[in-house]
Amino acid sequence: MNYIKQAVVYLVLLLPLAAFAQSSKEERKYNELAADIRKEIFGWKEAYYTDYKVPAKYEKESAVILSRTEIISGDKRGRSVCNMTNILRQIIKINDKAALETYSQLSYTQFIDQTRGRKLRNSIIGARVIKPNGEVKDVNIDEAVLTDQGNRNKKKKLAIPDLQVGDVLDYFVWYQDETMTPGGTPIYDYYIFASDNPILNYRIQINIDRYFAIYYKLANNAPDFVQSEKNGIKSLDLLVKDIPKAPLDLWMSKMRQLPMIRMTIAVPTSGWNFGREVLRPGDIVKDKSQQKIKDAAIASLRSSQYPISMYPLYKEIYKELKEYIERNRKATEEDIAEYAYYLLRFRLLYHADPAEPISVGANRNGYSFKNTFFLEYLNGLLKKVDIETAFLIVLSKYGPDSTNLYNASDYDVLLATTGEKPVYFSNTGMFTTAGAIPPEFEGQEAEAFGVSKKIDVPDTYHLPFSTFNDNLKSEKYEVSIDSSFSLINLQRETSCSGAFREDAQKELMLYEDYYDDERKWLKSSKSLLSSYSDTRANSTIYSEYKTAFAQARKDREEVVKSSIESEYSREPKNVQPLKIVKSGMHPAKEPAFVYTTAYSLDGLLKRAGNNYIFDAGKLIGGQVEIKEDFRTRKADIYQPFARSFEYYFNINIPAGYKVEGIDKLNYNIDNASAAFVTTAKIDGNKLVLTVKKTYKNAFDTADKWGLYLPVLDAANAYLNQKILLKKAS
Amino acid sequence: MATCLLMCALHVFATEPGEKNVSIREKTERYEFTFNRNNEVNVLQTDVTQYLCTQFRTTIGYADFYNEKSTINDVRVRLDGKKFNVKPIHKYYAVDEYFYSDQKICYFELPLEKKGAEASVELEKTILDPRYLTAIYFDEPYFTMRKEITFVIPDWMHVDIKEMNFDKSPLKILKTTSRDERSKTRTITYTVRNWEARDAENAAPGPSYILPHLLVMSHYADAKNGKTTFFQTTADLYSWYRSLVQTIGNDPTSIAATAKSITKNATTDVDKVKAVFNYVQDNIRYIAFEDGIAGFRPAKAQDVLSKKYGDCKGMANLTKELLVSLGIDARLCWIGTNHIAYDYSLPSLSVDNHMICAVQLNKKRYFLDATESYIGFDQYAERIQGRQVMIEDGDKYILEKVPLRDYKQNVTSEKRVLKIEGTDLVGSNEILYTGESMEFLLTAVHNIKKNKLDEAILTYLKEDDKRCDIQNLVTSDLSNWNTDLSFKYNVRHKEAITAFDKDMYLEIDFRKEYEGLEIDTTKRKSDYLFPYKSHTLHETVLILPKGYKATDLPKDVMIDRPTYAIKVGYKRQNDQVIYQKEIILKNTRLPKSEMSQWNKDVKALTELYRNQITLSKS
Repeated sequence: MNYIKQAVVYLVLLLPLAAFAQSSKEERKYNELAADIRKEIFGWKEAYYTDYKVPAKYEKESAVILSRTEIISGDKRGRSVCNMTNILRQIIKINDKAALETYSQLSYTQFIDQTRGRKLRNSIIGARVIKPNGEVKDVNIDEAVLTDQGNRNKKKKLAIPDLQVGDVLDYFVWYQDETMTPGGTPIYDYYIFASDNPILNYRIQINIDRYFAIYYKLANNAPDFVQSEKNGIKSLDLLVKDIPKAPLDLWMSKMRQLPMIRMTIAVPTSGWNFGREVLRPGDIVKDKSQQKIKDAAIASLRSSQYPISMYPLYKEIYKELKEYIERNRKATEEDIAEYAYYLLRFRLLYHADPAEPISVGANRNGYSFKNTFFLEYLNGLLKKVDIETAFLIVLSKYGPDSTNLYNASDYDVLLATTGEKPVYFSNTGMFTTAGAIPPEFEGQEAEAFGVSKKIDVPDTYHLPFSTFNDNLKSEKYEVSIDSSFSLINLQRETSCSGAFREDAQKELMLYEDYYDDERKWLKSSKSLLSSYSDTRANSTIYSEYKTAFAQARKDREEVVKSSIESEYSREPKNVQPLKIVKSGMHPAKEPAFVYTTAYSLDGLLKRAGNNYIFDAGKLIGGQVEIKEDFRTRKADIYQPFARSFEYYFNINIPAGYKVEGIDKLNYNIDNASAAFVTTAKIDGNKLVLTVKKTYKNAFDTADKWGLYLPVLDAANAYLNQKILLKKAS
Repeated sequence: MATCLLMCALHVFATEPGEKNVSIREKTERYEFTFNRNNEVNVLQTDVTQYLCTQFRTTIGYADFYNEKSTINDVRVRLDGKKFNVKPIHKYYAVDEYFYSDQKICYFELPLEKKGAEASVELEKTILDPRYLTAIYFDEPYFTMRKEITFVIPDWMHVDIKEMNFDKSPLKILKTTSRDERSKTRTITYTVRNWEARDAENAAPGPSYILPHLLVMSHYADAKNGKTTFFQTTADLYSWYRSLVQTIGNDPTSIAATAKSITKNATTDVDKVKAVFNYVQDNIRYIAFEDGIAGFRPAKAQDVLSKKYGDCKGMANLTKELLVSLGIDARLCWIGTNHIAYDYSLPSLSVDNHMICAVQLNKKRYFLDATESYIGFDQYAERIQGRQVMIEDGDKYILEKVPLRDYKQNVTSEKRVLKIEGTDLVGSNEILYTGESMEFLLTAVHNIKKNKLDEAILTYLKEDDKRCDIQNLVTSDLSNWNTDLSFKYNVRHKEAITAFDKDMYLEIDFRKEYEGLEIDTTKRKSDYLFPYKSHTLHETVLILPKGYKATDLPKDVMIDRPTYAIKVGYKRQNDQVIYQKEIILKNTRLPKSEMSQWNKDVKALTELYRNQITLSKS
């Protein structure tokens, strides 16, 4: 989501530049219009347009938005010309050089279109600088430089002259567009009442005539408009005062936490079908019924169903699925559903076409289906083998909750088998697994509907939360100290289960490996390369893939290295190639993705006479730190998911040394929201450290912040703990 | 910063340099001097590049640049021998650090559809003024099996082709010349084979120092209608520059009032110069413009003053005009920063890339570069120190050098007295920054939003150490860089002491400059350039707790080399341990030949930093 409205406005053109350059009449007309518009907008009378005082509490802010105004007006003239005018005006107090840098340039796309047909598109920029002594200096917009000139637009950049720290910048962008057609695609916009800078006055005004219609939704306690009507123009007006800066962006769900208004402006011809309801010309509708939005989401999915035979590769895939069922007569419904899912994923997403560009590196791991096509196909396939399914519509925790629904696309879709133990399927990436509920849907209520109405399925599925035991990142280390006492050598086995698994696989798996593993698992097809090594004609492709695989493997070593570096904020040495122990591609059989790495760290051992100080605490890598300003929190805590981190260190004590100070490596903080529990003991010639950090809940109310702080503080304190390797006397 | 983008030949940066998947089988670049219809000298450039996909199918970008002094006439592409229709995209080339540049890019993509696929691109270009044909490099974005650069020079064209850095070439550069009596034309061809792909290293000297290249210097042409002189001598270069400067259109009256008001409290000329310099530094935002001939002509002083922004030329010109209006001898200067290897012995547009202002005061010359926002009067940034400068002097010019400054200009000096409280180190601290050390810090703090400025200064002083707490901070005026920048504060380093049994261990240095800054000599190809010379001084007096003695102190490091010196050590004095550190960077350029020694020395320093002081109860 575009969080802050930018000063950059897209203004389009219709006229070729040559024509524009030649038409001085048109230019004159534009200049006259521009002068009028500037006079009008800079002449607005409300007090907050001329009050440049900043309250004492904001004096230390880099910039303060004294006022932000957005005005949208729509009126229709003649039979089909819809005139939309947008104005964005901002008045900003510049308090330091950083803000000066930010606001000293305006970039915009401009066009002048006064003549072509009757439909206009015009953009006008205005800017002025108000000096501390009240002197107003108009900015000459003609000094903007051209940075790109397409056939139908001019991109321009303007350096604001005579703008200094302590000044106020007052600028606007006015944009007129008559190209919207009655009955055409409506305009969607949103207004957020939180920004990087405090806003003293935020005014929004929407004006429409009887041909236009508005639907809007207030979310998260956003203030409402005042409605009025005068001379056939309906207006929505809103002025919000003193909006503080947005809170710390850690563990937030902005769509559920920041006040905002979402709005659609339409020009319905007779009635625009909007979320199973009809928006008629002149309507201003707030808060559609939740049920109707839900119905619309379901209807939209129903309407996108196609006969199964129309899906690509259907015959081959269906045949393979039937062969599996033949081979596995004891397979349960769940087994078959899972197989069907992985088969379809393999055939559609893993497929490599020799005519396409080769993609076998990191980019490949990000391939996915973004729409419901995959689930619809899977649904059709499962039906063919008599497995009952239901579609579920569900709201992500990073989108609006059910009381703040805006439209059907707020919903996501899952597919589930309808047996006793439902198997869930979500939109699919390279490593998404059958049965996994993506963390953003956990704990949400999902509404079920069968595509065929014959199936009787429950109406509501309570999608379970995964626990911190399910989502575990566990690391086992064998640690030794090199003979020169300068490097710490680490051999690490990392295991990622639950919601940790997919991201780790995306980062570290190689297409070459998992393609083949998956093929074998499915007992399907020939290997990618063997199918190309048969003929001479294919030998080039074979060799190209070989080289591309080798390159991807090499690139991964760099990923591993930089990932270790970011963990410890120091460059690792002697990084060995990563080895995958368990691919975890099918969590039902192999719940975790397990891999090993080996590397050395410098700078953790410090000589102290004959002894050494060992920064053992630093072995756990960087931890989230909460600075003083953020130790109180008013916003609820949206964790990505409940999770645990476990570290086990077996540290070889060098011969001739003994360890002192391990008592400092024992922490035990455990509460309802989080825990940090560690132990340290000597076992023969080994120092054994265990560390467990847990975030117990996927969601906590803001008042639980106090439970997080001691855990985060303890983890940071642990980082600083040292032990002494004392030379035995 | 303020380095202008002069219209020197821009390299093509189409794809990632050093990509191994594609090679250039052959590239020929041909430059032919001709007359156009108006009897003006043009250079026709024809580039033919043959790409070869060596490993696996890919798509590469092809790009070339032009501006108002050049045109791209035609682009023809063949893929595997067959004609391939491309529609190049022509657009303004946006470079982040430039507010505006008139450079345009002609760009398209070449699909190399399988291993062994070949593509050939033929590009025809006209350089409308031979002055703008300057440096031509041999390296390409890809490994190049064969490259040929040919000049076709009719007898009427007098041009000098300088062979630069040929002695540094790892491979042979073959030169052949021939002459065609019928057309009275000389042809000079340079050929190289198996040339490595371009690979830019960080902190490396500019390419003109290290890469073999040709510098084309067009002196004059015996045109049909008489002699046309380009740059035969440095005087020609100057007079061309001067012709541009004479048409700036400065309006002295409109800036005189500002000049007076800026200097109203100044009594001496030196104070006036300082005030004007300071004013331009603080009030004019640097914005880089490149716009045709305007890329060489400064903007009017009155415009820069009223707009409060300008590029290096605009800022130099305003500085000069403000001073001239006060009756001070101020002049414009052209200068090449240390990124450029050349000096004015070569009459070429590629010699300079920057403009500053020179002032004559009491028989002493000072240089003012207001694009350096936070440097003091008579202090010079590394990039212009010692550089030859062309100073305007009516119809003549003066060549001088910007004074060199040694490391003493850029000092960071810190003094602390600390004692032990529990496991904390507590005490007082004073730090002083001067010259470029100060400029570096001020640039950093002024780029931080005001609501975070206090926090940013603290973070800077704490070296981002969460366990360091600073109280009672007294800061000198952050907006005055004509005096040194100083900080005084009380400090507490929490949990700095690790105590086991009767012993205490601690590290005393929290800054650890150059720690672990070893250079990977197996990969490094060029010398390493530090941003500026510097002098780091530090002293900590550690007062020992009663009954404790320093039983073990890390070994001193005392190193003095031609490029740097590292002197760090401890001494015991009564009930105190005194830690002293002096690190001098005498020169900014660390030659490759000194890198392994540097690595050894840095390793010794790093070890000293990490080694602990042991205090034992007696």
